[in-house]
Amino acid sequence: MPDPEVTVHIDGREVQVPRGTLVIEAAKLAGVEIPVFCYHPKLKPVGACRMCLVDIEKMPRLQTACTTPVAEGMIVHSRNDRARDAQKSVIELLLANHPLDCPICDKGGECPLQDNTFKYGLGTSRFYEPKRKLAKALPLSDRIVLDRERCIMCYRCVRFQDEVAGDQALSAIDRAGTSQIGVLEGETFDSPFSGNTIDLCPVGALLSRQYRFRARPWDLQRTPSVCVGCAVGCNVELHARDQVLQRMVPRENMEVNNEWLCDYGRFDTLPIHQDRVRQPLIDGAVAPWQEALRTAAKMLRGGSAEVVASPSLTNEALNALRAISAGLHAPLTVWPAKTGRVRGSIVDLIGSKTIILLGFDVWRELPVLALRIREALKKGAQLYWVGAGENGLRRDTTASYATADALLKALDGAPAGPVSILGPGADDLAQRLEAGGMVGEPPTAANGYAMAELPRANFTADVLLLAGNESWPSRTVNRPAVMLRWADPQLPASSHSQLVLLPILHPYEQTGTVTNLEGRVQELRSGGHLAGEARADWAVLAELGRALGINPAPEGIQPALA
Amino acid sequence: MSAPSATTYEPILLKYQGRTEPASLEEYGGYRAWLKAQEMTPEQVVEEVKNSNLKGRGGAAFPAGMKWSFVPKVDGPKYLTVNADESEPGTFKDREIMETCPHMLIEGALICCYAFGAKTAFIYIRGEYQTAAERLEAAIAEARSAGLLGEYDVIVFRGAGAYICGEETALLESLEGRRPMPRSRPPFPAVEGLYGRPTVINNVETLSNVPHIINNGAEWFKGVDPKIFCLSGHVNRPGNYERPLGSLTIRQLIDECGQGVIGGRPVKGVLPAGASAPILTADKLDTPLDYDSIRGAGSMLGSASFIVLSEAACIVRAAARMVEFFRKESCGKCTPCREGTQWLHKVLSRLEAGQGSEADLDLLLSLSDEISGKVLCALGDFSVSPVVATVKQFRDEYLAHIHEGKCPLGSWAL
Amino acid sequence: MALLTLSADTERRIRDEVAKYPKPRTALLPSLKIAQQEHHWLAPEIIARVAELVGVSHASANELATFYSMLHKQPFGHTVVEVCAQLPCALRGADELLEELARGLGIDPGETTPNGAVTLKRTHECFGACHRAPMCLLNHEYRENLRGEQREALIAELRNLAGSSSPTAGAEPPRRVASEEAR
Repeated sequence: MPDPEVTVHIDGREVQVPRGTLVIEAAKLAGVEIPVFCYHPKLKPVGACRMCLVDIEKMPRLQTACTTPVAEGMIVHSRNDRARDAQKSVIELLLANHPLDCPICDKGGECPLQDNTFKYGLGTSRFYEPKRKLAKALPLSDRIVLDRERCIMCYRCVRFQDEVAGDQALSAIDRAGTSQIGVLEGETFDSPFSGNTIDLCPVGALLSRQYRFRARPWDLQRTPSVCVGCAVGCNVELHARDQVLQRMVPRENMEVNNEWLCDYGRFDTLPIHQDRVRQPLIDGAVAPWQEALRTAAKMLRGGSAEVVASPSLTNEALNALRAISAGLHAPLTVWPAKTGRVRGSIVDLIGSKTIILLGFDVWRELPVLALRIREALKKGAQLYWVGAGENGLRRDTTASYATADALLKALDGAPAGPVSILGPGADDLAQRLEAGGMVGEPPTAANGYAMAELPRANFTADVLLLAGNESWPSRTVNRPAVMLRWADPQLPASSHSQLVLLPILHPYEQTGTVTNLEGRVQELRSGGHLAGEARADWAVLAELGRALGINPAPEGIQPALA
Repeated sequence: MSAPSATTYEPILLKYQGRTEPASLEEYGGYRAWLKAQEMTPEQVVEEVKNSNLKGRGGAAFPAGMKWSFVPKVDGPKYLTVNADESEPGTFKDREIMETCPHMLIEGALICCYAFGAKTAFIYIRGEYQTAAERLEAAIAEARSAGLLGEYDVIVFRGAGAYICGEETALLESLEGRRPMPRSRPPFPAVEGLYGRPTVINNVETLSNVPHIINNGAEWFKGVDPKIFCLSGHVNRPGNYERPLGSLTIRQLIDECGQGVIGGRPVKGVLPAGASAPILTADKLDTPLDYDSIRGAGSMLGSASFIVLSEAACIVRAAARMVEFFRKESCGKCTPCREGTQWLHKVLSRLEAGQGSEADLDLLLSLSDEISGKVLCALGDFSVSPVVATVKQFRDEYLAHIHEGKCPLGSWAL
Repeated sequence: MALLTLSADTERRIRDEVAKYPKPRTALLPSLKIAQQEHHWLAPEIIARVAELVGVSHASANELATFYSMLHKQPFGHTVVEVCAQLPCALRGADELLEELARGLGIDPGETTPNGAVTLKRTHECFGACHRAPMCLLNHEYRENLRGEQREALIAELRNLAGSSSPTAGAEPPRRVASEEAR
């Protein structure tokens, strides 16, 4: 039964909302903007910054909209004299000790403090005392730098690490006017999700070291795409300046990644500072495309071949490889075998009441999925670990067992459902229970789902087609190979006996689709452009197919969406 | 209602005042009220305390019985937390109760637990009160040996030096092992308190009255309404003085209990509630000592911590010293308190040193307005009291500092 | 410098403390106080160890260690003298007491005597001894009514600990160190 609704008035606009809705949320529904800093819809409200103070009739004291639930007939003012006065006060007090160094602060242009100051502030300062001096540009880790003078102690970062990540990797330190954010001396901000605090920080306190001083937000071109770090397929937005990729931020998708990214995806999948393959190379020497393709085709027709796919290639590239392997009568394999499928969706996982990890460390392998599991746990689900090994979710695990039998015994064979099971042996265990959630041994590569039925490569053929930017094992070195990759042109060239290197674009520079662990097909878009002759993986493979005389052009070689 | 004469009053809470050793269980007379309460129903106990009109003695003066009745009748653990974090400047009454008669507090805590269905009481005592904590622990052990606790438990939890832990919800945060910052309300502690469970928080002095209410009845209590008044500063005999509320005036407290002002000097001002309430000028000395009268005089009785300033005291320095307290004790959670108290103190320090201007006085009042009423907890609200009351009532002292470029009084050691 | 550790006895006391409460995290503050007793301060590795024993993150333990006045993240002298300078004490000569102690020990408030024996501190807090002002804490022991003979006796006691045998006249001028108030 839906919550009973109440009627409230906010700045003269009437809106009906469920009982228990916070005034700040009701305002949003009414189309009224109330300024905030510490409030964030994905975190529990704390009422710390006081920016959202509103004047509610019949309540003598101003109330924070973020902590006040609506009541029937409530009349709220966010723009009358009292409210405006409060907004100016909070801004003045926040700016008193603020260094006001916007010209050298990365946040400028996308800064809620700047925006709220313009809209709600006084415009002048009366603070003539010496400002407090705190650490600026303090490296918290190799990813994050902290400017303590800019921090307005909204606690979003601390709350994120506590409520969403669950590792409490950051805390407030000291008290009163010298309160700051920090970690224990000698330690770093060590969490696989630390980068999200950069997005959450409403000022230029927590900043990305990777992105520092690289661009201004108004210079950026923004392109929606998908992260290729693992099989979750977090939705992202790629930011480029003059076509060069600068950073990646999350896009909200409640069915996939909520609005989070893990640090590996956010920082390490970007091709920044990578040595790029820009032109075709034959045994290390630059060659024109046609010559390279001819040589490659000749090599592949010259003996038994094995077509090896990287599980991070696009679906379109995979289709092309199928056609090529059929045309060559060569086996199509995958390496590394980070492949697999689950049934059930991420939404099913979040709705589970029991989640069983069969030795599968979600925290490490599919990090953002661990955050989604925590959402289920916060709604009362229980998490169990079976087997040995590292469990990144150990803080949240109800109990651990050596075997699945031991678990079933402890639960009397009837855990609360729906039940999700992840890891090797999931399907077997699911047959003994009423599952209903997400079940399977998940893939961990970006397109591992699509290659689930491909056998693992054994690299024993006379010639290899190695498609994808992997660190191919050393035993491939002695064989002639055609390799498609986007980074480190020198590395393989120096070690292979005979090598044709065909340059492909990084996944963030090309169109195509990848399929996440649920079977969800998601679209890559070109977020940046690389100077040179590299092309999309499927485009290069289409050309290779033509050079091999494999006609007609196989189905689906164009991306599913134009 | 005729109150007992101020001079013939026999202390109830401070019956063992002046003793170096606390009253033993036997001397205290055993837990008669506790046994009597357990013969009543919990509802009857709540009614009795409600009828007594016992108001919270920690400063907020919220009716105790009413607070207990807010606890919902639900299953599962409930908790009593005794606020023994006494840290308001000029306050030392709870210390004396706990050091001289810990059994009275323990008995009151047990009765309170019974009344609203808790089985565990935490006594959150400030870390510096080591003697009091040790005596409480010894008394609890004594009571346990005598079989008085039964299924109830009273645990002493020592703080570590933070005034904000005296704020109800910050106290709960501290007990939960988190940074002690006040919580937003709703939800209120009675519904969601310690560990998310229904919780009552009461002051030491409040609970110490409870055994007497149970033993002698609500009507008796209404006729007595004992209150401990802390007296410090420029008086000859500072100390704790227990009297019925309203039975004497500020002047009588100073002259009769405190034996007058040091050196016979005139009173310049009296702070009735430590640093947290507006200073009262000498013309208010005949105000009776009760909540309504002090409010009517323009201040607040609060914890009844009377600090007397004679003509020898510098008001500007006093204000700066009190604001320093709030600045450093602010937890730092909310913007106006964290940033505002710093700013106030910096301006006041300049004024104290003779480096201020008249514009600073307007600035102080304006800043006080930006803080008061906009903060998360009472610390922020009270932090402006020293500023506003002194700038408005002692403007000439501020001007003297401004125009002379220094403090006209120099030292105030008496 | 070698990393500090906690003795087996201290660790046992912390474990007992954790077992005492309905939720283990309640034991975090008491455990930090227990740990502090061993080396008289909380080094980072000690804070980390307490965190592990209680079952919280290092950052969480550090949060408390930095918040409370009675928890110290720097080594102090063996004897810590903390003079209350809040209003009721100040009205009865606390500022002057502090100056006298500083002169007697030859250090400024916030500093430690050269032999590491005595640290002198001024506090803004009130210790609930306003009726026996001026006063100080000597390693958490209340020393009250510090006037006349009692004050002389305290100064003598402290100077003895500090290894000062000569009167204050002729002592080196105090070293200037930024005190806490400068923050």
